[in-house]
Amino acid sequence: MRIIQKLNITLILCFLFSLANAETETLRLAITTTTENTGLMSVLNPVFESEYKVKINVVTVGSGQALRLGKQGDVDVLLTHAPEDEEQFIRSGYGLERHPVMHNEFILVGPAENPADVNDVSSVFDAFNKIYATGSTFISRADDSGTHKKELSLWQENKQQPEGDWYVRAGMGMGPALLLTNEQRAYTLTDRGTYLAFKDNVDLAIHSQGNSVLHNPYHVIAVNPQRHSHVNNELAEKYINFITGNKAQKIINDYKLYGEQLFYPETITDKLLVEENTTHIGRNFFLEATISSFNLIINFDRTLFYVVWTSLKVSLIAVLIATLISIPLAVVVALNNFTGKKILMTCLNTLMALPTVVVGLLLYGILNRQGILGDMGLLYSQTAIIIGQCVLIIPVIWNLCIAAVNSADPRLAMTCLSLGANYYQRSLIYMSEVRFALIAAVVTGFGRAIGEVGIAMMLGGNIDGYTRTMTTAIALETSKGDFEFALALGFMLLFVAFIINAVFQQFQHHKK
Amino acid sequence: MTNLLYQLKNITFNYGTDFNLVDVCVDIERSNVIAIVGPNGSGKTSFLNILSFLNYPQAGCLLYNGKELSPNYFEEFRKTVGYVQQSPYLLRGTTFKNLELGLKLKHIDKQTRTKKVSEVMQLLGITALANRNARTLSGGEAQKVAIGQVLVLEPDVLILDEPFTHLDKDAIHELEQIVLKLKEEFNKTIILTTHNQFQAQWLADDVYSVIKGKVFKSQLVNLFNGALDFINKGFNTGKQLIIIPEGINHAEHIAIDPKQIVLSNEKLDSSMQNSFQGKITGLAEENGRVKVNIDSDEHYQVIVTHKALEELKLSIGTEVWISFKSSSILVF
Repeated sequence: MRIIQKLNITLILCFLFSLANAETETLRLAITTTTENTGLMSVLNPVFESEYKVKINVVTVGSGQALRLGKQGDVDVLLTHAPEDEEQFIRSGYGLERHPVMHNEFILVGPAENPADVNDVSSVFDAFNKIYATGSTFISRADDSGTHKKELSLWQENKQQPEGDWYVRAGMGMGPALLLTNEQRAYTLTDRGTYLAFKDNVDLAIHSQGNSVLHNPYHVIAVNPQRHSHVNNELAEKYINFITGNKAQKIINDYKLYGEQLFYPETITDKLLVEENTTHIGRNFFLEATISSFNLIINFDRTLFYVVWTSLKVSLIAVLIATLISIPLAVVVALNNFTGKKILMTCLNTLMALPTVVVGLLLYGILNRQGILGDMGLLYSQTAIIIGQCVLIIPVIWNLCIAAVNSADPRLAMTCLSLGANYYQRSLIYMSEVRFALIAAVVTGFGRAIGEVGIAMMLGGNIDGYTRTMTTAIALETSKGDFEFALALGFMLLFVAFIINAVFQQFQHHKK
Repeated sequence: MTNLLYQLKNITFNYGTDFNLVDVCVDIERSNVIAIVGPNGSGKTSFLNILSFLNYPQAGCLLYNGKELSPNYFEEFRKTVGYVQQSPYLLRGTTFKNLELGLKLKHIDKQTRTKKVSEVMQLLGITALANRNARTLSGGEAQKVAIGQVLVLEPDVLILDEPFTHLDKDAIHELEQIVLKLKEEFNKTIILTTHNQFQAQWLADDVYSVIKGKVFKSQLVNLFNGALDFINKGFNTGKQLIIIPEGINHAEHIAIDPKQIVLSNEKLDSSMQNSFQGKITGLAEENGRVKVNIDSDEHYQVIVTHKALEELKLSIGTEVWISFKSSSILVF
C-alpha cells in the first residue's frame, strides 16, 4: 500500500518534469547583450527556426560568459565579439572554426555638455587620455563582455590604469550601462547598435567614432563536439551556414533601427554613414508607459501572455511538487518527537530566508555540464527553474505546514486515539482539520516562487519563448529600455497574486 | 466468571513531576457507575488514563476482564474502552460526520454506519442535531455528541473526564439520566470524574477519592484544603485553625473521620485539641446510623448512633459543640 503510494508520487513527479521539457530539436545559442538589445536576433532566428523546423534557445550573456558556457558545453554555438578571446577559445580546442558574420563599430558617447572636452580630438586614444586627465566620470561595463574587453584594451594601449571615483565599474549589460551613463552624465564605450536602440531614452551624444581601432567584428563559433559529445554540432553547423549565407547576410544588411543600419555583413564594405540626431526624453514618460502597458494587456499581446503562461506553468508545477513533498514531511515532523527535531526546525527557519540567488548559484554548480548532474543537460530549461523553485519553497511550505499542524487543537490527539485512528488515519484527520492553514502555506510558497527572479534568471537563462518568466522579462525589458512591456508584466504579476489571494479568501470564508 | 471488570494491584504511574499515581489498589465491578472525586492535579486524569489504557502503568498488576494487562493486550483492551476527554473536541463538519468517524476509520460500510449512528443519536436524544455544524453546538450538545462518537464503537466501558463541567443545570440533569440509562439498559460500566461530591454520591455505585496520587475507596468527608500555620502550630483552612499532630512539616489537605468526631451540648473539658461550636443543618439516616451535617466556620459531617441522637436531643437548628483529637486527622 505504502510502496504503491510512493511509486505514484514518483510517477507524478516524472510526468510533471517531462511536461516542462519541450520535445522539438533545439539549438542552444549564446549571444551577447549588444546583439540582443538591438532586436536583430528576433528577426534572424525565426527564419532559421521555420526553415529547419527547430527551436533556438537563446542565452543572452556577456562575451566572456558566452565563451565560458561554450567551454562547459552548455551551449552548441556562440555569436560573440571578443576577437582575442575567441582565438584563445579555439586554440584551446573548445571551439571549431571562427566565421565572421558581421561587424559594427564601437563609439564613445557622453553628455552633450562634454566636461572632458573630447569633441575635437582625432582619435579615441586621445579622447580616453582627456577623460583620464580630467577625471570625468566613466562607466565601465565591467562584466567581461566584448565591449568591456575592448574598453580595457584601449586603456592598456594608452598605458593607463583607470582607478578612482570617476571610474565606475557597473557590472551591467550594454543597455543598463547606457541608462546609467545617462543618469551619471558620464562617458562610456558602446556599440552603435545598442546606442541607436536607446537613443530615445537617453540624452547622450557621440564623441568619437569612425576610428579603425573601434571596429567591432562578430564571429560565430561552433562548440567542439570532440570536447562535449552531447552538443548538437550538426545543427550548429547548419546555423553557421545560415547566418553566413546570403539570406541572413541580406537580413543583417537591411536591419534598421530609426532608419539607421546597425550591423554590416562581412561581404559588404560600405562606408559608415551616421546621422547625428539627439532627441530629448518626454517627461510624462511614466504615464505614457502605463497607458501603453494597459494597451498590451487589453489587446492580449501574444508575447506578453506567453511569458505570463510560462511563469504560471513553471511556478504551479514547482508548487505542486513542493507541496507533495512538504505536506507529508510536515505532518511527520509535527506529530512525532525525535532527536534532532529542534535542529531541523532551526535549519528550516534559516532556509525560509534562503536568498534566491544562492539557490540559483548552487544549482548552477550542480546542473551545468561540469556539475554532478551536468549530463542531464538541464541548465537553461524550464525543468531547471522548477527544480530551483522547489528547492526554494520546500522549506517555506514545510515550515508553515508544521506550524499549521501544530496549531491544531491539543485535544485532537486524544480524539484520534480514542476513536482508534491508526498513524496514517491520524495524519489525514490532522490535515483535514488544519486544511486552511495548509492551503495558506501553499499559497505563500506559490507567491514566493512566482515572484522570484534569481533562480529563473540563473537557471532558466531568460530564453525568449522558453524560459522567459514574468520576473526575468521585467528585468530584461527594463534594461533594454522597453518600459511598457516590463510595466505590463508587472501589472500581470500583481494581478495573478491578487486573483490567487482573492480565490483563497473566498474559499476560506465560505467553508468556515 | 467474576463480576470484577478491573482489578488494580499496586499500580504506579509517573507523569512528569505531577499527576503521580502511587500504589493504587482498586477493584471495579461490571455494569456500575463509578465516580472519581478529588482536587485538581491530584491524579484523577492519570487514573482515568490508566483505566482507559491510554497510559501503560509503570509498575503493578492490572487485570481487565480477568486477563492480565501486558503490552500485547494494551491496544486490544483500549478498543473496548470509550474515552471522552474533558470539554471534547469535535471535528469540522456536521454532527453526523463526527459520529460516524470512528466507524469510518474501521472501514465499516455506509449502510451499517448510518444505522448505528441513528441508533446512538436516538439513545442520546440528538437526532435533531444530525445536520448541524458540530462547531456551533452548545456545551451540553457537544458533550453528548462526543459520547456518541465513542458509543458507536460499542465499548464495554465508557470513561468520561469531567463531563459535567461547564454545563448548565438542565444539561447536567439530562446527562445524568443518560449515564443511568447506559448502565441500566445497556449494561455499560461508566467511570467518570466530577467535582460535585453530592452528585458523585447519588449517581455512582462506588465513589473513589484521588488525593495526591493515592486512591481511596469511598468518599473522603470533612476534607479541607489549606496550609500549615507554623506560628499557631496548626492547619489553616482559611476559615478555621485545626490543630494537627506535631512533627508534620508539610500538609495541603486534611480529612477527619466523621466517626471520630464527638458531639456535645456544652464545650467539653477534655484532651481533644479541636473544639468548635456549630449549628445542625441536616440529619439523615444511613446504614442504621445517623449522618449529621453541622455548620461551623467549615461544614462538618459527623456520624453518630441513634442513641446519641436521642440523648443529645439533636434536631435541625440545634447549637452543638464538635470535638476531635488531632490524632484522628488524616494529613496529606
